[in-house]
Amino acid sequence: MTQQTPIPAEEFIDAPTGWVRILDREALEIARPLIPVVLNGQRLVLFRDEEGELGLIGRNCPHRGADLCYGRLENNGLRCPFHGWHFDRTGQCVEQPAEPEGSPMYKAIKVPMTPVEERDGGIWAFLKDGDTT
Amino acid sequence: MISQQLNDTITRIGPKTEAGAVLRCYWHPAALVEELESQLPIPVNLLGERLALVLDDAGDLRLVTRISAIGEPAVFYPDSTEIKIEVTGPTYPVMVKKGIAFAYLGNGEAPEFPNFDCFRADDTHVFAFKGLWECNWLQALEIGIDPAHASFLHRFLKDDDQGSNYGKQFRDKVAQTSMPMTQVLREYPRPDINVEETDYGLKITALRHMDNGQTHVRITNQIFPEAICIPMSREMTITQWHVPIDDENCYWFTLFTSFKEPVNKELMRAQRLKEHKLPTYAPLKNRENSYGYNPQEQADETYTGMGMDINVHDQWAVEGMGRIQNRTREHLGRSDKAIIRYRRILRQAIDAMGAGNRNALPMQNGEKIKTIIGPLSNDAVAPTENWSGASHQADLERRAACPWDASV
Amino acid sequence: MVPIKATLFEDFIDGYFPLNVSLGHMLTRHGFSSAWILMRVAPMMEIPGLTAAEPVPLHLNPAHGGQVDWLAATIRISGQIASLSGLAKWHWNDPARANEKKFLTTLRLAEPAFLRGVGFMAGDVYSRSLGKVRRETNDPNILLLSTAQLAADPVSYKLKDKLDSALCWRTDFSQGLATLTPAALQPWACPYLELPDKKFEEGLLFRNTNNLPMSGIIADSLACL
Repeated sequence: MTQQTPIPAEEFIDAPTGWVRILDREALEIARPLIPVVLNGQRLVLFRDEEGELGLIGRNCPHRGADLCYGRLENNGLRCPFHGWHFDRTGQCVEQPAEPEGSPMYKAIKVPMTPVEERDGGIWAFLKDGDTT
Repeated sequence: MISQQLNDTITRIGPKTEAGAVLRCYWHPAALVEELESQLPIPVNLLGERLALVLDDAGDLRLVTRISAIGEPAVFYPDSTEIKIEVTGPTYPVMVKKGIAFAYLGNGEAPEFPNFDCFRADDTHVFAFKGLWECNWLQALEIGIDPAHASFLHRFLKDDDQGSNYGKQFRDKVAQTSMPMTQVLREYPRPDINVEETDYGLKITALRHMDNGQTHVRITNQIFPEAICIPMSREMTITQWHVPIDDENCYWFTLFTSFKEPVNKELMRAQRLKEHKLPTYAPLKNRENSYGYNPQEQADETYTGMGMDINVHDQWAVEGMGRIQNRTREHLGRSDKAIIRYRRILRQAIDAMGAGNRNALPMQNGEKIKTIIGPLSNDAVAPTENWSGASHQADLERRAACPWDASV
Repeated sequence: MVPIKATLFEDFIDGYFPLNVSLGHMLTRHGFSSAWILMRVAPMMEIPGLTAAEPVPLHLNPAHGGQVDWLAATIRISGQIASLSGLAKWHWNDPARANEKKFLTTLRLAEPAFLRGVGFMAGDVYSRSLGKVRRETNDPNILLLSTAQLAADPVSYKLKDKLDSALCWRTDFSQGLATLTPAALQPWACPYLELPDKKFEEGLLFRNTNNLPMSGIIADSLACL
């Protein structure tokens, strides 16, 4: 008897630069709509926010590298469980709850984002060659 | 963000490395006494070297070099009958303290041990254990000097009844209040952090100013180079070393010290043996099984969804960074100030060793090392306008009531 | 010699913003109008093409990184931004930049930086280097010295007898950061050392009565000599 893994298995896609259909829409119709994907060797996390929009951002938190696959899907974005850094679907950091009151540091922090859209029943991503960060 | 070269300098600890030279100036936990009690010799994989603990001709414990195959796994633990000694290899002295066999892998005479509480306490009041983390020692240490993360990584969305929580961190009530520590951490996630350099490393004060005109004061410590001393409950502290096996693996070795009742070692050991497999002390929850992650639990009960054991949360955080954290992608905030101050001391130590100036390192000044005591490590609550005396007062009260000599 | 209000302090400034922006935030946080600061061992970066308001990249390209070995400077707020003047020693990872003479304070720190310093509040006393600072009448522990006073060497030594642990710091304000080279450094004078024969504009003289121990800032400053 196999137990369903709590984090979906990674999806690996290698393709030339351009728009590529990476998954069917149904793939994200799971209780926790988050899937790790590796596009041309770049480790990313695909998720759907509370507005129903898609995010496709770097998998490791820019703070200290924690794995955002285990992030909290809340407040219309993805929140790292290590220190609560919160990212919107574009990868922009919008909150750092442990930083001193009034700190503007979050504005200077953004996880690289891969363009992503839904059409024709599929999820499409704009791939770049290799790891360009 | 720092350069790859600087990251290598502060993380790599093999025999010919700069950070390795600093670490070798100090005693390191090599094995638990309970390992020695089952058989001898036992393998010890430490600071990139393949070693074994044996009894020498005089009947004393000694660390010697063992013959190992290329490509041997990092935590290889052959049976004592299979251990072969490399007789021309280096050997190192060993000292047993409170359930841990410490080893000194450095040059010249080994330094004195400082007189920390974990070494002064009666044997009945100290319990030792260890566990494997599959990552570099430095990221393992740094999570221990990060007072901000406890309000998130270890957040319990509900507070537990305090009865059944012997031996578990953060599950005690905070002194002088009826508030569980988990509630304090959850409701006040933005501590003011003060860091001071001391003769043993760093003293870190985390202040959570509460709504009732009171402040929660938590004192933790960094003991150079790889240890921390932090409060576990009103009665107990944790002194924990993060000992390199090699550049990609480490053991945490912990001494749990009680200032009141003798430690219930049977219970502590049983709790921990349920979570680790022998003889390698590798945790049962790990990367392979996603640390027991449960998304429903993450929604309802814990911030991580990885159960109630905060050690597992820490393990996830440090292993998830990668075998050696890639600090060229790291973005520290001001709440990481203790980490920044620690790295300054480490880098100054590396420079000093390079200049042949070992005496400039913390706790390398001869006779004075034995006079280093404590360190103070507790949680206290005090009026916000005058919090600074409260920890000191609480510490003196605990020491006065302590059955063994904890006087300072 | 004018007694002025000053506060000895330690702080961390945010990384990832231009240095002068982070320092401006710091002055505002503390309610200072100006400060004299000392930073040591601060990783820095200069990313070509990155505008001041853009987030920093995820990954540090080693060619863009470097380190401020130390920086000793006065800072004053103008609007939201701080302007710096002082002395620094630095190096970049890129060997092509080894002989650089200009230190642009709009570069970004690559992580938060720890610094020590003395902060001043706005007031009526004119200081060429610190802007207008506030007089202190109540048991002052810091004095602002003008050029004429600095030139009279015996004054400093007389004061040294009067005040416990008096430490005279002098920084060369006559040269801006733009013309600095590592070879031209003599930032400090301490009464326990020979007085330099450089021309100074202003100096600070103070005694160790503050709550915050001076040993840290003294150790840091001696390490820069």
